[in-house]
Amino acid sequence: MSDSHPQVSEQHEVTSTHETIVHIQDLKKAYTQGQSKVWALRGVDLEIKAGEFTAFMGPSGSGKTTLLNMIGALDRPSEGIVKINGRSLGEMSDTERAELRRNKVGFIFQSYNLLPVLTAYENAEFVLMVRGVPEAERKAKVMELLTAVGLGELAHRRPNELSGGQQQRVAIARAMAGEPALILADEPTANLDSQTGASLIALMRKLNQERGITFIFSTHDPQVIKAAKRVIRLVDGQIAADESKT
Amino acid sequence: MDSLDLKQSIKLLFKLAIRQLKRDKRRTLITGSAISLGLALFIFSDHIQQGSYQSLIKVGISTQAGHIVIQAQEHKDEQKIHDRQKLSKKLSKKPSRKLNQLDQRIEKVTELQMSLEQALSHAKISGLSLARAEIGGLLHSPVGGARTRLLAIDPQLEPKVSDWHKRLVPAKLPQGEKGEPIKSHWLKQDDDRGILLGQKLAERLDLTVGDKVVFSYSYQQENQSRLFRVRGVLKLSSEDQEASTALITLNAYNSSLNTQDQAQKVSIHLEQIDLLPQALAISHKLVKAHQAKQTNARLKLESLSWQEALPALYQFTLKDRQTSLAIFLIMGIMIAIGVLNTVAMSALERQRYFGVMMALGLSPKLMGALLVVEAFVLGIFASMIGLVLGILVSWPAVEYGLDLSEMVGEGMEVGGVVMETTIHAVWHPEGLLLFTSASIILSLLASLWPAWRTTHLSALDAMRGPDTQ
Ligand SMILES: Nc1ncnc2c1ncn2[C@@H]1O[C@H](COP(=O)(O)OP(=O)(O)O)[C@@H](O)[C@H]1O
Ligand SMILES: [Mg+2]
Repeated sequence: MSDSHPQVSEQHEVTSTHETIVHIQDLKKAYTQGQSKVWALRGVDLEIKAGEFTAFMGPSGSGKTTLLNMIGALDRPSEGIVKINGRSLGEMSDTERAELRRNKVGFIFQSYNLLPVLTAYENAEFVLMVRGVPEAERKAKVMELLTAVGLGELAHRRPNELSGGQQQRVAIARAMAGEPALILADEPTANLDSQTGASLIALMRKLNQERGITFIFSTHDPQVIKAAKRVIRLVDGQIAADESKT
Repeated sequence: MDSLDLKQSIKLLFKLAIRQLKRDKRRTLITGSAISLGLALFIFSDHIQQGSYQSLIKVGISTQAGHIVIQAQEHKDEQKIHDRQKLSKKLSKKPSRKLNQLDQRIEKVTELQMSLEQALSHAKISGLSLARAEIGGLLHSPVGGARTRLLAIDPQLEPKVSDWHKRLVPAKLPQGEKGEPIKSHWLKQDDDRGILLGQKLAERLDLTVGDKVVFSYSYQQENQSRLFRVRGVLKLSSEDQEASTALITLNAYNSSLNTQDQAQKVSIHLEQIDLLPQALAISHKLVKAHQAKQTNARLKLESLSWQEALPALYQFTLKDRQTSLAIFLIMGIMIAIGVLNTVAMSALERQRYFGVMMALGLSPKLMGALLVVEAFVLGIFASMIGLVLGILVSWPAVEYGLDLSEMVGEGMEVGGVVMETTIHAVWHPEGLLLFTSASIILSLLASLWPAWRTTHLSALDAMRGPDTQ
């Protein structure tokens, strides 16, 4: 069912291709807590096309993070299928999943999760180093990205020498560095003031439009929801609404 | 572009590991100093241990034997031959008797000593050979008698090896007389009437310097006696020794037995104990050659290492080694647990970041390898520092010694050997090598468990941190 043929869809933001990048079918996830089972996802069906700028919204505990983790190959489903670019994650080994994350997915976390011993530059460079990209190429790429997120001057600073907003910019640069097909951002603005949040949303939207990178957010932030081109509402681990804006 | 080859992986791991160690100074310092201090402590106690072992041997050897002891023994099979002769010559008028200690003498001692010293110096082994003998008997004064062991020594050479000459003390006047104590004098080489008495012995017999004393002993199945004159009094290390020991010259010994240039033992004292095997080989050879010069065919010359000559002392040193090995082992386990704990804690506290790295696509295998490489680099650096530190703290103990007199009080006695109260540590290169490599290996081992644990966590579980595990 790998859908590699470009499909034209009027509903979605237009980029060069419209391949299905995420394919989810009847996805369920249960967590066991002590003796009781908690169903974080209760049957989700979802298609996301390349180039989308989509937000998952919903009350706390509705399964947004769980769903993002499933898409990012960080967690394994209890039931159902998750495919990225037509490849089913369920059949992959841990090493293959690490490889997929390294090559196809960028993560932005609510709490930034920068590596504290590395500078802003080195944090953004990390994925490229793990991929074995030559130094000169790394440097050009990372400096370009840090400049794009407005941190060209602060490249040598360590995370504890940066503000929350600056750290999240580094995280965005890090997620972008590997030129992933997909960036997953779990409440990226939750720890930031609204002004900083707004500028980051604008930055991500710009990268989405200019470079065609697919963004999927989970969020409570009205600014993010407003900026998103498609909003999927989750309630109790199920999709309650799916609206695309034109 | 997708994955690294081995060389690239190793380069990446070292780069990341060194960054971590350099930048997370607090953690590096804590873990590193656990390793360094543990190693330094180990090295220090090894040097002390080595020193006390060698001083025990040294003291024991200098007063009791020598590194090598040459003595005359009745042939092992002599007894059997003797018994057979007895059977066959039942009516023989002169049955040969069993030899006693006094009969077991080495002849032409000076010649043997000279050839030994020549051969040793030819082999570039610095050492000294010394002749000694012993007669047991009774010492009589007008007040009474006492069982006494007369040690016959060479007054010129003996002070180079043992400390008898430093133990001379002024002699009290006989009971009832008043005045200053009389000065003691060391024996002269050709003095065949001089005797030095243990202090208790002198008191018991009420003798002082200048007094005459008669020594009676049995030799060749006859009672003999010889007159000596007291030259001095010795303060010895134990009361037993003081009450039963007296020193005479080898000349006096030979005169007493109507012999010339004979002794019971020739001992070799080496400057470097590690040359013992070479020296022993030389001694074996020369002793074999010297055998031909002996007139008493029933005696066989043999040369023994100190371990063979002083089995009780040797057994003690072995036991002492075992004890200290056990202490080392316990110490080692404790230090190992400490290091293991710090390394594991360091990994646990950083688990969230391991999760992040794995989320970013570092494979679990490389993640685990990173922890091992980190521990390896730290282990090498910290162990080098520990090595230097260990040498530095050992230095004063080697140069000046550790004074334990307050801890152990008077010298403790071990198998007739009185221990010194100041321990001089001794350098032990093998120990340095052994403990330093053990320390590096241990640091590596300590990282294996956290590494294994980390590779078996999912990125997500790791990122949630240790609290929620
Ligand atoms: N590791 C976990 N163990 C147990 N329960 C979990 C775990 N992660 C999430 N859950 C539960 O799954 C549900 C969905 O959580 P989550 O996906 O984090 O929601 P959201 O991100 O929308 O707030 C919640 O009820 C939460 O308690
Ligand atoms: Mg969440």
